[in-house]
Amino acid sequence: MGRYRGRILRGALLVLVTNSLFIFGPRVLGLAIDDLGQGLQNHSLGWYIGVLLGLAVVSGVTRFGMRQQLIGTSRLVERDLRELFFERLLALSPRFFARQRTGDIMSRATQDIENVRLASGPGMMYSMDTLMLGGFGLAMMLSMSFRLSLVVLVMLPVVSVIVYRISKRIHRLTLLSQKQYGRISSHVQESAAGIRVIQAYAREEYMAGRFDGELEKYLQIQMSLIRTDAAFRPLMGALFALSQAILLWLAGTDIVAGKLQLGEYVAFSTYMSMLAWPTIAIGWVTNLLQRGDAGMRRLDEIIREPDVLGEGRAVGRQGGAITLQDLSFAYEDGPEVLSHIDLELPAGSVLGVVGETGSGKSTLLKLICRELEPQSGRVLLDGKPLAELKLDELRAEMAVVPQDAFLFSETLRNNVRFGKEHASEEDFLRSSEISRISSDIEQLADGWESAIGERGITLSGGQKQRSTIARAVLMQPRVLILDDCLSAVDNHTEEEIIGELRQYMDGRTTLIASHRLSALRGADRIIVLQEGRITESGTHEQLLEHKGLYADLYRRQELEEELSHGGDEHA
Amino acid sequence: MPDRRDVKGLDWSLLKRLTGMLRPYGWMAAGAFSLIICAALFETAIPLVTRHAIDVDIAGGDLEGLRGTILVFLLLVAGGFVTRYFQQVLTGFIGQRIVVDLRRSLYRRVTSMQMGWFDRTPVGQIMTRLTNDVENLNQLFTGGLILIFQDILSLVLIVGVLFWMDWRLALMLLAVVPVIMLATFQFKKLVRAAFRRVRALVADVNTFLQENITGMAVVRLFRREARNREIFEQINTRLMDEHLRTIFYFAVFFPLMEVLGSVATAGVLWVGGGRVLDGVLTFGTLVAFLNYAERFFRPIRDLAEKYNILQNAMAAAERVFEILDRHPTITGGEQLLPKLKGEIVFEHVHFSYEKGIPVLKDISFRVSAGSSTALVGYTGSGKSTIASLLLRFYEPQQGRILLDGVDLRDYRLDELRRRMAIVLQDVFLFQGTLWDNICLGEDYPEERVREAARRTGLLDWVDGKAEGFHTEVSERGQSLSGGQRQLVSFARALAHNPDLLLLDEATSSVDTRSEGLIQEAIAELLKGRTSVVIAHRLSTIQQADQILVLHHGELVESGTHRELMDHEGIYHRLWMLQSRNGAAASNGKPEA
Ligand SMILES: Nc1ncnc2c1ncn2[C@@H]1O[C@H](COP(=O)(O)OP(=O)(O)OP(=O)(O)O)[C@@H](O)[C@H]1O
Ligand SMILES: Nc1ncnc2c1ncn2[C@@H]1O[C@H](COP(=O)(O)OP(=O)(O)OP(=O)(O)O)[C@@H](O)[C@H]1O
Ligand SMILES: [Mg+2]
Ligand SMILES: [Mg+2]
Repeated sequence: MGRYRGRILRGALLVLVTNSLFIFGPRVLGLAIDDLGQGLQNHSLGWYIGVLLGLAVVSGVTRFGMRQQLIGTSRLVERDLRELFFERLLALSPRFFARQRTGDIMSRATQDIENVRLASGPGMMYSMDTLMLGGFGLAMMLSMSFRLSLVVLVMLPVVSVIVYRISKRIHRLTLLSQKQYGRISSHVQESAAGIRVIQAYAREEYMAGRFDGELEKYLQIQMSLIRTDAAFRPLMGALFALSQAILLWLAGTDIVAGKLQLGEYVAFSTYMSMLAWPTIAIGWVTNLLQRGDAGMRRLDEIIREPDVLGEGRAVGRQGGAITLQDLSFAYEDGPEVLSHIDLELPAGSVLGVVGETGSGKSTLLKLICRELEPQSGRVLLDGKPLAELKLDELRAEMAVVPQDAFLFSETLRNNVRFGKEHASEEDFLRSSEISRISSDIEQLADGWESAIGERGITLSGGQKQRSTIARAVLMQPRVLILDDCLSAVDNHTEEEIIGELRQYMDGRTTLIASHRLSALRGADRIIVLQEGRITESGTHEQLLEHKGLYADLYRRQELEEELSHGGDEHA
Repeated sequence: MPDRRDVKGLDWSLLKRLTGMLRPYGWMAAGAFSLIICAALFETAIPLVTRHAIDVDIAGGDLEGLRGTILVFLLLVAGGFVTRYFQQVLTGFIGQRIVVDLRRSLYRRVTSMQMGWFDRTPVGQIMTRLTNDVENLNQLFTGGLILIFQDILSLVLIVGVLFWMDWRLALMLLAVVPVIMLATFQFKKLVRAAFRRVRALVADVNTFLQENITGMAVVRLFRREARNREIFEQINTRLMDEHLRTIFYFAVFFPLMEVLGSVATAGVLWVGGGRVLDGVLTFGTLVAFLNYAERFFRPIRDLAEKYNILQNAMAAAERVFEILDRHPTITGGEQLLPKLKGEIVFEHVHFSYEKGIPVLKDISFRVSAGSSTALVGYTGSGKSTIASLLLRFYEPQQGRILLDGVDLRDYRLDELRRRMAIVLQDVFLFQGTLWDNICLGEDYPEERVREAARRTGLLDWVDGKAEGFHTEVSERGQSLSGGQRQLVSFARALAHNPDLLLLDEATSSVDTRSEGLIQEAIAELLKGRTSVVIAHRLSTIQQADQILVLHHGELVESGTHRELMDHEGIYHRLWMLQSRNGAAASNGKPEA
């Protein structure tokens, strides 16, 4: 915010000018009324009117400037904050994203930034405005009559405290209500995203019942909020009316006693209603500033979050040899998923990763592409620890097909081009050829330009998977990581893709995790993971020889085939 | 129903429908309106009391009278406070109840919609309808309509009083009204357009953020950080520019209103002052006038704002009604379904998701009760689509599907689906515990759930967890491995104990050993039940009683494994590919 100091100072100055002009209005009006009572001895009516209008116009202009400066600044601050926030998000480590819920990050990006903005713009403007108007108004009133000013001096703190209390309560309830609102919207979100499951199991009524429960809770919170809110404004109004009544009584007796002019009373009463706003505003503004402060603290948690992906040095194009040294990993407060993995993978070789469900294959691959970071041990690319490499370069060297085919709600073309927007049409077609997604294009309504819906909902399972393969292949990386990426593809297509890939993989280090052993044909080396450890390692033949899990998995497929043939023969 | 359009003026039929929603709360609404009238009367009377105090009591030096007048003043204030309070609580309550009613019916309508609608409607849009739009619509009851009524009422009252006191001064005061109106509506127009752009940009910023946070891993892996930051900077700056524009409008508008207010005050002083000098106007009236002037301008100034709220609410209402007026095209019949035998017949079924691109062409087959059928074919050939049709997610354009000899359409939808269980190709897990995900809110006995987990090979893993079945699963099951997610979804289907089991690539992400164990474990369970299995790993389906081969949406082969191997068609080719070494391939040959 330091960079906007000039704007803020200018704004503050304008607030000062505005208020010092504005404050004379009621006084002039009062004088005019008194002068009227005496038959206009001092000035003509036109003079009063001229002064009133002059004051109004000039303070109007400065008020315009003050809004422009101060509130405008808050929007600049907002933009800067949001940009900084996003920039930091991009730098944070995946551990952070595993820890933090999307909804929570989003609420910081929306609610908290808004709170900071409110504090830094309107909050700042109104606090200056309030203090000055209050101060000037009070001074004016004191200069007219100390006795009458007492009413205000007593009322002012009382009202401010009440406002502060109530708005605190309102704030607390608002937070509760926002939280509940958040639950309502995530319920809707989950219901819409999981609609296939809900309808397939005819659970609409159950989900609706749960939804009703959330709504009922929301209603309760809203009602306490409404009750508090409903009391607030009328209460303020009543308090001010009360002070007006006291003023009227005091002023009335003074006028009757000849100690006060009617005009002075009018001016005084106008000042009092003018002060009504600052008194309410003090409580409100304090709250605003507090909220802004809390918001800033929450934002700081992310902006200053130390768990960032370290930026290493640029080292230039790599060869693609991967080394794992004593690598161990556990997810947040979970058991160890990988323990003491050692592995040496020469550049350009192909590694197959096999293992039972949940044995840690995906985790291992995520560690290698630095989507996760190990608790202990290191991953080296061409002898250099990943953590010391420039992330951008590292990513340029690697392309990943994750087990979960995540696609964006975009056209198919843009999804494939996601990693390389400016790839040549030739490369683009080639990669769609390799992944065999090209053969499905004519089945899609708008071909490459088909919008594929959220997460690719309008594609078949295999089409989705093949799109993600195309996306990775287009990157032309040194290191290609394929995580169970042919599970939804038929044998024929699989065969074609593997055939194409084999040529493509030439010279690229490739890691393939798969349950289909057929996809691992041609691997230079295969490792078997069992409960986070490498239990077997070697070529296909060596592993068969070893008669371990791999051989068992392999024989299982073989055996079943033979069994079935045998069965046929018996039939 | 009118087309989607931006509501220009006020749409009376829409308004009528909206006020119709008040009907269940008729007497409450009536109460709220009478309270508004009372409050407005109280509040308008106050300056008159002050006038009385100045002109009669103070001018006459009657302190006793002044005391009485102030008492009246206080009574009016108290009355105003009480009526306002109850009115706001009442309107707030009505508004909230309507919100609940609306959300309930919207939710039920949305979840009963046919799948085709969900394919076209983004989740974000559905969320907006149920959250923001309903909230905006509520503004109509708690803010818009009532406040406008209230403002108009006090305007009328004030103008009445002004004319009653002194029509010349009243005219003077009213003279600035057209200028204020003009400025206000000009302002409203500018701000409305700007706000619309702001809203769109805010939505852009948030959607962008949301998608980038959920897809952060992919963004990273494909090095989109710099590019995405650039895109973000662009929309962010555009949003700021748009905000700055509205700030300009506001910075002009608010001071301008103050100036106009001062002009009116000056005018009153000018005309009124002369008349006081002439002795035709009392001081009290002049003061009351100045007082009313203040009360008079605020509602007019706010009218623009409230009109805006009203229009927003109307636009939201239109979108909400659009969903409420849309009836699901797939609904059930009357037929109950005590127990399913499970005979499925497809008769010349044609289906396409989008016009002109047939996905299933003239599909006919029969699955006899209690038998197992496998669907095989290249990716994208329409296998999952057949499962979707069985669940009545979509409706075939031609032909019909019979279950136990009755057209699917004649069954009650929930009954029909309750008898079936499917493992969807796209696994979806809810945020919640493993238990919730398996039971989906049914209170199954623990034994049944454990049994389902055992058969799918999940039990050891679950028991190894500290919290067992009460382990929390994160958004979309991201805290489980790919295979584990699939197994949970499988266990969900088994726990359901269906008469008809549909498995769409249910074990594609599971290792072969676990797959084999599952097959053994469910073999006895499937005895006597109909099952339809879709699988690319042919080893899992060769025992099926019947194998159907789909190719480009056509049923090209059907028969047992043996028959199809003899046929040497697509199935045979797929099979040969799977038996990856030549030995297995030549093993297959001699049988032919
Ligand atoms: N919701 C949808 N909207 C539009 N088109 C769809 C939708 N779902 C599937 N399709 C299209 O229909 C065709 C058949 O899809 P389907 O999912 O039935 O294939 P599949 O045989 O299950 O393939 P896979 O083996 O890859 O899962 C595909 O071309 C696909 O793009
Ligand atoms: N984000 C996560 N948070 C906590 N635990 C996790 C997370 N992701 C995976 N796990 C756990 O870590 C273990 C290893 O998971 P991983 O995804 O590496 O298995 P996998 O070998 O890829 O299995 P699959 O063959 O099913 O894909 C599993 O027990 C899983 O439950
Ligand atoms: Mg995995
Ligand atoms: Mg499918």
